[in-house]
Amino acid sequence: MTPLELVEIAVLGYFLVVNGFLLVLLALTWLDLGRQRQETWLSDPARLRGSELAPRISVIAPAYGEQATIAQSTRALLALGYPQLEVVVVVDGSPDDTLGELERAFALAPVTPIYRRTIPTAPVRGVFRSREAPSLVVVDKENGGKADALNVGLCVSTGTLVCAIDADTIIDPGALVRMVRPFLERVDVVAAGGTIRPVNGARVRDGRVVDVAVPRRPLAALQAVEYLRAFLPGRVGWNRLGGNLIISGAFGLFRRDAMLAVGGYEDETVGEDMELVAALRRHGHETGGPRSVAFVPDPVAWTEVPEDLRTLGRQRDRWHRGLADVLWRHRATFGRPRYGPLGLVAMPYFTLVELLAPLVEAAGLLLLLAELLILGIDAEFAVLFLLVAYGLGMLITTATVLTDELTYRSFGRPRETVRLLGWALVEPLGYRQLTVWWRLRGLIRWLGGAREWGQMQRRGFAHGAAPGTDDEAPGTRRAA
Amino acid sequence: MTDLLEPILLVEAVLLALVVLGTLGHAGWRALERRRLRPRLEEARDAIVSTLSPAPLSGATEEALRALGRLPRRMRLGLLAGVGEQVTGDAGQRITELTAAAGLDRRLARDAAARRPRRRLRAARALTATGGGTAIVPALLDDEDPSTRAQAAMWVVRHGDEDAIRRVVAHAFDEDGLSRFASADAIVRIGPRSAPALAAALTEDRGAGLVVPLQVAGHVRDLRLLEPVRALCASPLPAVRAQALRSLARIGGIAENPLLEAALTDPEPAVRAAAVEGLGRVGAWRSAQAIGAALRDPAWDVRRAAGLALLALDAPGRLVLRRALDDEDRFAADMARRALDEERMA
Repeated sequence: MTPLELVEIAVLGYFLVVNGFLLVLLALTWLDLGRQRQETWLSDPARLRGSELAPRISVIAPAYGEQATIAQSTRALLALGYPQLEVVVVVDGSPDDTLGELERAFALAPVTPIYRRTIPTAPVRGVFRSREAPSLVVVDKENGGKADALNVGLCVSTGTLVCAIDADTIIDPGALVRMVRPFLERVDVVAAGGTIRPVNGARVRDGRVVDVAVPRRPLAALQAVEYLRAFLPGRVGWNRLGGNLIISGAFGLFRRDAMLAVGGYEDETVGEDMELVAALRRHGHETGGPRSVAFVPDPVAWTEVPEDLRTLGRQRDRWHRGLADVLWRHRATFGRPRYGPLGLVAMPYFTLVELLAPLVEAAGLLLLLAELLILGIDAEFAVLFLLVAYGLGMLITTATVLTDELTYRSFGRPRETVRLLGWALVEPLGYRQLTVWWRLRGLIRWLGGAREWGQMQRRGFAHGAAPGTDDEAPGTRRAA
Repeated sequence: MTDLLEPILLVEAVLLALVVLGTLGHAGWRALERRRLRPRLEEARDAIVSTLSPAPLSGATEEALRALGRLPRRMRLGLLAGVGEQVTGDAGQRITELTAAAGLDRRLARDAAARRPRRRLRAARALTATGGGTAIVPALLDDEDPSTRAQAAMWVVRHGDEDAIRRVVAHAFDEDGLSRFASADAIVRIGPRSAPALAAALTEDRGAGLVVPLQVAGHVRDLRLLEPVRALCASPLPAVRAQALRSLARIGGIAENPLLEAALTDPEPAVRAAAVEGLGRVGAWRSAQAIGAALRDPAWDVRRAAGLALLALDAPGRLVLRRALDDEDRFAADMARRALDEERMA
């Protein structure tokens, strides 16, 4: 066997192992979904809504450049229908009139709340409370980035649990009631994540999603497929493997005391959401405290996804830099039995599969191309190789669509499932290769020390929202 | 390599075709079912609602049963449960009767005794909403599956007798978090009827397990709970003492001042904070000076609780806070300032 053949086998083997692992995750997802759907005794939100014993939740929403939508999205948060709810909006040195808009809409008055500044942050200019909505607290602070804004919110908030969201995330009514379930079930749960779906194709009224649909624009529709795959086998399956490392920054619920114990969000990384989960799990293992991370598929939050290649590329680039950075920061846990499933399963998987996948995939494609052009290998072999490699990925994606059709029907009507299936079949043809390039670029830029967030063009989904330029991670950004 | 790849590709292609066909088939079937069953579902819902009026038309029940009979069993049950959750009293009783007349109660009884936990859970859930199950659900209170136990506790809120309530109270010590929470929540919803069982439970030697029942006692607020709660204020466990003091303030009110004030010297900060919080809650203005002294406590949580408690005392508390602005202890002065700032909003 020639060295080239060995490399071919290695690349193909890598594809098969990676996709095989995803198949295992999908199988675990099937098991877990069945159990979860049966055990949702709190699926009637009214049950917990009327409870005097429900744990208090503080929703923290960082806001930067949200003047057009902030009043409406804050009203939607206040109307979430959770019994013990506090909404903390942190205006992160926004250059527009986000604070003024909040003052006008909610009759804010300045207060000096009694709270501990346990995490160092950019200076706080003022804290306000609404005369009209007593559960609303608004913090005005100097710009310090999303993590910094979340940390201020964490210090000011009073809930036992903290729900971190982006200011433009739309949370389904009843989602918090469902999300709190793992914390009621087990004392060792430190964080829980819910499902994120692209809002681009949906109809939004008064800060609520009133009609769901697969996005009509191709790039957003392809991301709808990607999100589905990321949140069904990508997260549910991990529940049985000791929990994964990612809870989306757009929608996650955490134990506040544990967050404070690890010093809140790390603002020196662009992957602050993943870093927090890794830190919480690591801290739990080191101190013997709570360390489980649960994913609950039925609480849903909606977020706008990029609809142009440039913005999407920058987003994926940043996500991959964040991933690399977090794995590097917590490399001490890699492969160490002391850290249980975190060290033995999650860290190796995220390093060898998530981090290196674009590298191996790009190497495989380049190698095949080189062989075809320089060595003149059989074109039939090249086609077969690609079909096998991408066919397995396609199989997993379509199986995910089938799982969704049989369970949650994310996009409602049957014709939307058919549409989603269509996009699942074309996703490996071009789109996937683009994501490989963006992730590879992110990896290279991380090695070069790039740490910035970048810009994102957003169209705006809320009624009355004007399209505009905003932060890449919707919500807040560090000043340039 | 080509020889290796071809069979792999073939397997992939077959699986892919099956998955695609399965998805399309299920979506198509769903679309057809939707079209077929939606009008029937609406008809059945209207028919059920028409039986709930105080004076239903003659034949309304038969009409409802006929409409229900045109639906699949799962949908029938879902519809009755959905309506049942919204109504109580006579209307709730009619839903129970309709469920029985539709023959669903026999099926639920079989499910409640099934080997698979998910079937038992489903039965408990349906019976909670539709009513009935007096001979079936109490047995599920001790089910091996925590979710089923939790659901059975919810059933007791609406349909349980004294014995069932006693058993729900016992589950406030459940090792499983969900069952424990559901039981505690059920006891609070049941209210004073649960007081005798809860009072007896609070006398058991359960160590830190008493925290949840104590918390529940504070929400039930029945005077029959006062004695055991008072006794637990002397528990050797700080977490129990702290929760007992909080609940004592909620149940006993101003009469419990001496016990709460005595706890201000407890060695544990969490207990002192709970005592201060309790004094603020009961409006013990005579204790304003003692609470004011807690502004100098070395523990931040106690100082914060003192600031908030003094605010709750209104004029006497504000007076103490204003004096504390010039306190030699700068931590006390700072907390007083913060508390007074907080008060501006109120």
